[in-house]
Amino acid sequence: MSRSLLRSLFELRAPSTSRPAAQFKLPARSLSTTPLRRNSPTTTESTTAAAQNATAPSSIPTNPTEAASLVTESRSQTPQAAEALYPRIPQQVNPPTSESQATIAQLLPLLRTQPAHYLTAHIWGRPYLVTAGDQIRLPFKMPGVVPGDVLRLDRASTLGSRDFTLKGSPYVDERLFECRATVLGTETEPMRIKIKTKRRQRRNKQVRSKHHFTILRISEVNINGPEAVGL
Amino acid sequence: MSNYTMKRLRLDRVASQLLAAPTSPAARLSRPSRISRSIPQTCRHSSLYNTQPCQRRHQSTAAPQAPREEELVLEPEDGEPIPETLRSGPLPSPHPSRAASSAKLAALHARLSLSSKIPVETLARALVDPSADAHPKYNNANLAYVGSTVLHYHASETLIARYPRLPMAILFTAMKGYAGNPALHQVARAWGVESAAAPGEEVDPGLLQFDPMKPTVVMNKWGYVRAETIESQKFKSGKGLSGRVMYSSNPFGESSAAKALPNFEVDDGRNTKTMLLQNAPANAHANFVRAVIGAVHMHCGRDAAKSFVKSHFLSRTFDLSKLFEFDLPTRELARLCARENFEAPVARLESETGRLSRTPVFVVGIYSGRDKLGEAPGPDLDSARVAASINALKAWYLYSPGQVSVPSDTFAEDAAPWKPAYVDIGEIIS
Amino acid sequence: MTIRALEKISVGQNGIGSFILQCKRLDIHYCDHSGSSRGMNAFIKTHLSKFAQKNPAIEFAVSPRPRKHPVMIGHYINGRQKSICVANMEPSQILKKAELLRDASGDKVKRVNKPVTSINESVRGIWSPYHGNGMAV
Repeated sequence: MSRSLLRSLFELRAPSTSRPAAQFKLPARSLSTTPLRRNSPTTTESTTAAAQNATAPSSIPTNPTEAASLVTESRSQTPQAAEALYPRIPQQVNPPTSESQATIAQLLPLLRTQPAHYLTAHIWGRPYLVTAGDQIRLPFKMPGVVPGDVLRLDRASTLGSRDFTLKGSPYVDERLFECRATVLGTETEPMRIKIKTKRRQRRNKQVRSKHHFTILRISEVNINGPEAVGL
Repeated sequence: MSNYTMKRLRLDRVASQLLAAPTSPAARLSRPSRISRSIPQTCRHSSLYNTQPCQRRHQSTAAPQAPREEELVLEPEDGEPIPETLRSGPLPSPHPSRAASSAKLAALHARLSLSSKIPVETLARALVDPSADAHPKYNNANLAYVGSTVLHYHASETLIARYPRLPMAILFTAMKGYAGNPALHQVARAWGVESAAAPGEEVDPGLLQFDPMKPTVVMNKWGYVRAETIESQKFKSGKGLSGRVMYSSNPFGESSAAKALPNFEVDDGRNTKTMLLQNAPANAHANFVRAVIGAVHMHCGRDAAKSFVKSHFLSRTFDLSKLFEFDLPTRELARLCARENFEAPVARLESETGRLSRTPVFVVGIYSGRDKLGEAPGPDLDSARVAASINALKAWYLYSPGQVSVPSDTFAEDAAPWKPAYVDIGEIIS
Repeated sequence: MTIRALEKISVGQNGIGSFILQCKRLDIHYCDHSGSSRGMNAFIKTHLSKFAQKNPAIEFAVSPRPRKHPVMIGHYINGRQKSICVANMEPSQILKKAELLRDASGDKVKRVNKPVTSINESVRGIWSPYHGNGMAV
């Protein structure tokens, strides 16, 4: 270690840095440290495109760590409230044919080795072709989320890299990828004014509308290998 | 390269020692005083670590300045405790006790979602630039130096492990793009840090305090100016790339900051205008960001600091292929193929359209034997060939083994033993 | 030395790696006497402390402004501010407005037609007419 670094560390023995318990005077503060937020984020499990599943939710989360982080770290609301708003509906997977099994086992590793990935994530039935780092403006205001919440998107119809694409029928098996999105906030648009007129009537009516949109940022796109589905 | 890869920071030993309460009063008294007396003699030119009491504080009074009460607790050998009523002038920076009542500071702490282990007083100290308060116990110089070493370590190990063939010039610039002053200035602004109009005792502790007209501290790699750097500047040597590797004063291969440093003491009044920093706001913001990293490292430990650096700095988008500028790409590609025992590169026309028109397009591929190294379109045959060889060279230099482990992964308790990563022998010299 | 480096700065995008709430300060102005502030005064008494506790990343500044309508002003990290007059509103309506200010990014409101915005390069590349076997007409 360099002399200067050693010296810096000794200098940092200032009493103001080691005074205990000062932080407890402050109002409530988010208790998660940055590493916690990064690794196991505030998760509101959103089962998007839930409508197509007619099965009753048997509520067995496939990923136990996700469920755990939901219990510990939901910021906006209690986990029960998140569970009530966005119940976890397990995906109904058609048993894959032997042909598709062979393709996944053979070609998915090749897809993973290519550097950039995209996926077509479905959020409430609408497809969005995204890569990591993209921003999505949802056409609605998502209820029950606050800025900073992390959603796990678990319905995707395609996964792909430059030369390979994995298509789902209609959705790709949710164990094959991990896609997370951070809620950035709510945006709006300039007020729309529509002038309604009727023939031979001298009155016209202004109809005003202003919509609110939830903004998401795709923070993570990971593609798992074929061993995730037992191939 | 060795500057980056093998610089092992054994901060853990010292850090744990520092944050723990000293067991015996004798140890508490002896250790700081010993260090503070021995080191300034060894490094005369240190601008970071001037522990002599600040002259600015003493100017107004003949009696020694009353130290703040924390100072008295730590270093009783400085003199008898002087009650606060005898204090003559205003303090250069807000008193640490005001940090707990600052709403701005608490909001900043929560916005960065820092751990509650980091007290707001430390965050307040990170906001005081040496130009505002020259006393090393109350400004952020030391925190920033610790933070800069942590940041540079993680940035360099990530870059080298992920892109093992980067040329040195590109590596320097990439380090600057991630951890240089301009990038850190942007980070500080994205954190919503506001700066005070002028530093002083009365400003809110949640504001960044610096004075552009006063001397400050420029972070460099060594913490002081090395004798060989001064020598090399005297004789105007060390301008080439190998000289930059050897004599640079920061991890970005620059030595410009060192020019100002030798006479650039924090607390003397001799600084002339020519020695002042070009971009003092950027330097102050960047030092604040480094100090926050240092605070995370000191209070939360090595792993927390690593994930803080990863989430705030290394996750930024940076396209390294935009950094390259080649003089003679075709010749360099030929040298590369000779070095690697490839067949000599041959340019072939792949496709063309409108050769006789005003806007022709030629697509040229560069082949070595049966392997295609690169391809590019161009408006004439020659520029298409040059562009194709640039693409081939970029493909070589930007080779990445994907997500690889870095040396600091082995610091974890149950980590697998380190498997040496592949690092290329170096760039092509032609 | 045939390679020179061009200096560039890495680009940060909020929400990747770390998330920073864009609203950094909320100014709340009220009047003690005028009737338009009645809802605001009730909001300050009943809802505000809870709201502030839930949002520690925002600095709240409450100050009286006599003989004026009550106003909430949000200050954002990009330097802009957004102000909402909350005269004659119920406390619950004011809470909605405070949440609106908290969730906003501070940017000017624009009409956007494309749902996805990206600074990444296209993953699958751009179609080129010069490659492939062409199409028989």
